[in-house]
Amino acid sequence: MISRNILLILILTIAALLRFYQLGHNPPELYVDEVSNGYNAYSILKTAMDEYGNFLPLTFRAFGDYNPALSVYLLVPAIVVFGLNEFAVRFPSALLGTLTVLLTYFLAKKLFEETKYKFSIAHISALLLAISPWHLQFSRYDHEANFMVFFVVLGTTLFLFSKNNYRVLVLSAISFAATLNTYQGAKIWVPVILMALVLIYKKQLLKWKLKLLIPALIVIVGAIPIVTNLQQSTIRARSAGIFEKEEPVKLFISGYLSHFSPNFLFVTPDNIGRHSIPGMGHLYIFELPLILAGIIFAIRSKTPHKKFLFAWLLLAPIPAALATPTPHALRSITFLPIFSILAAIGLVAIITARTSFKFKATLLAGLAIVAAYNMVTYFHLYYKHYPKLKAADWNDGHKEMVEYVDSIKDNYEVIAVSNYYGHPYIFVLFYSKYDPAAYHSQSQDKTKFDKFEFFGASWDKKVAGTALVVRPHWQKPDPPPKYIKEIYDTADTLVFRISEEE
Amino acid sequence: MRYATLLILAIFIISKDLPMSDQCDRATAQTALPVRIFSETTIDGRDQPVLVTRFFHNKVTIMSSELGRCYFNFFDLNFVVNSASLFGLLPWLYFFYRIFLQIPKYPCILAIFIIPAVPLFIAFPQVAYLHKVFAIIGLVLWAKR
Repeated sequence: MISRNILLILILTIAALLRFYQLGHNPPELYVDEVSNGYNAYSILKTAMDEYGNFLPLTFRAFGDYNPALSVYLLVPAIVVFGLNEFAVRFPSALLGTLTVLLTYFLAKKLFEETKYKFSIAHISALLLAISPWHLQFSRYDHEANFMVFFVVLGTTLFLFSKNNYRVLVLSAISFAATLNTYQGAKIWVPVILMALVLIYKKQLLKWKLKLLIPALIVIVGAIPIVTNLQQSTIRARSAGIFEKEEPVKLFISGYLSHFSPNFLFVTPDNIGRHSIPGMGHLYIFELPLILAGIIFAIRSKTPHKKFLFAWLLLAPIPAALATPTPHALRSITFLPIFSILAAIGLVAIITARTSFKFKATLLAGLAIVAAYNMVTYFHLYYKHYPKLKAADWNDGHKEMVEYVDSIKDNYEVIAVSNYYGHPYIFVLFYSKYDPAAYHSQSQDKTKFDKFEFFGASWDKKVAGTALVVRPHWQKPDPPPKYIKEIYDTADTLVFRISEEE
Repeated sequence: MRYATLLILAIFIISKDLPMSDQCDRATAQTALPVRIFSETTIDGRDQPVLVTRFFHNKVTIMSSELGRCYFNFFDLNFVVNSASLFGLLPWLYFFYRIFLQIPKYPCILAIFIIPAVPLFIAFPQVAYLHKVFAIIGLVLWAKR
């Protein structure tokens, strides 16, 4: 028992180390959405209002996509403790990512409680999730989808543990209600997974009779922020969804199937730089034979939960398939932690298979060598290649630009910043820790606040006095202005040129 | 009635046009090799020991990854649908279910995994036909169930 607990603590330590090590530095800088969440949380902390001055909103307007609120509120304690910085903004995601590893242990143990290998499967599942490139990627930056994974795994685990305990069922309902307020995709994923749970475990549920109304009511209450802001809550779904595109059914089918592509999973990830590291898939290649063996073993096993295991596997790509582009690692994060559990089952199946010891030992030694090489390569690519290759995907250069501008802004009448890279105002607010109370009254016009102006293709001077102008590296006005600073990213690529103009 | 339905499904599977796919084989992998080695070793920089750079970025691993990409294209379910139609997907999956789970024939399983690798090394362009064959066998196994 003690050694089992020690093993679990060791796995959690690995999970925490991999999630917190250099958290504020790699990925190289905060992405614009992280900056927005961070500043809105800071605004809540200081004024109980979001950047627009809305009092404790149920959805955050941010850049007009009205994100669910829970993921912003969860940043507030981290900002209280660590201040408004990169580490604080990413801290909740890394913490919930680590806790998801713990929950996966309990989930896998519950799913296979009827077998004698439940502890082995649970430990291996947790370990595989702890080192999973897919889960690490999203645990190391502040994205709501990672919050959704935590709450769904929590809700599901509690649900499975609630067979004879009504209070645990209520807690599960609270967790699913919370999930609805984490991420846009949760609006689809929560009803889908709840429907699967209800259909598969209807006998277990029906015994609660009228008492079921309370958990149902809790989930409905959780949906109130969505229902009351339906028009705004569906803005993102309408812009990325397939329903307003040609041949939506065909798009859905091909999108759904694309998430089972071995290339997407193991070799070539999706095209979005923040979702994966170049040169590797979302899962390790050594997991492929384990997942296949796991599927076979799970189909043959007598666990009463296998229907649910496969329902999760088959339903997980639905939220991602309802939008474009596909395959999409972020929207299909709903797969986690099923692949880790299947791979763990596969490994246990191979270890316990009734074949010759020589064959098994050779197979496992081969797998261990590939696994070790896979992992070492992953860490090399993540810490050495990724910050250089994908600096632009992380808005690298914005922090240095704002810090420089902020240090000399008193010398200028106006500071003009190009909006070429998108939403420069939020970077200025975040990195200069601009007083949210002072910003609320200026928040409706995103082209200016205080001394700052934000411009598109070209900038025209409207105010007398010296101006500081921040342009993307390629924008070269004629005649050339007096450049006083150049800003480079981690890959030594020129991002901004800062000039003084009379 | 059952046989008539299966016959219609078989017609759909057989009559589906084969997909046009990009060339992806040993030749394309070899073309990618110098480019990838150059770009990956450049990122590593000169301050890193050569042995470490070679350990991570070498011909064996890059060729494996490039050939793996070509090989895995065969098992992409969208490629199956494009080769054997959507009606072929379920019998295709049923074929694999039977081969792996109900009547595991190890030489058969081995062949299924080896054959898609053949076009990587020798000209064998119509590998997509295999999906039609697997789907038809799946239909037959379903009919005999």
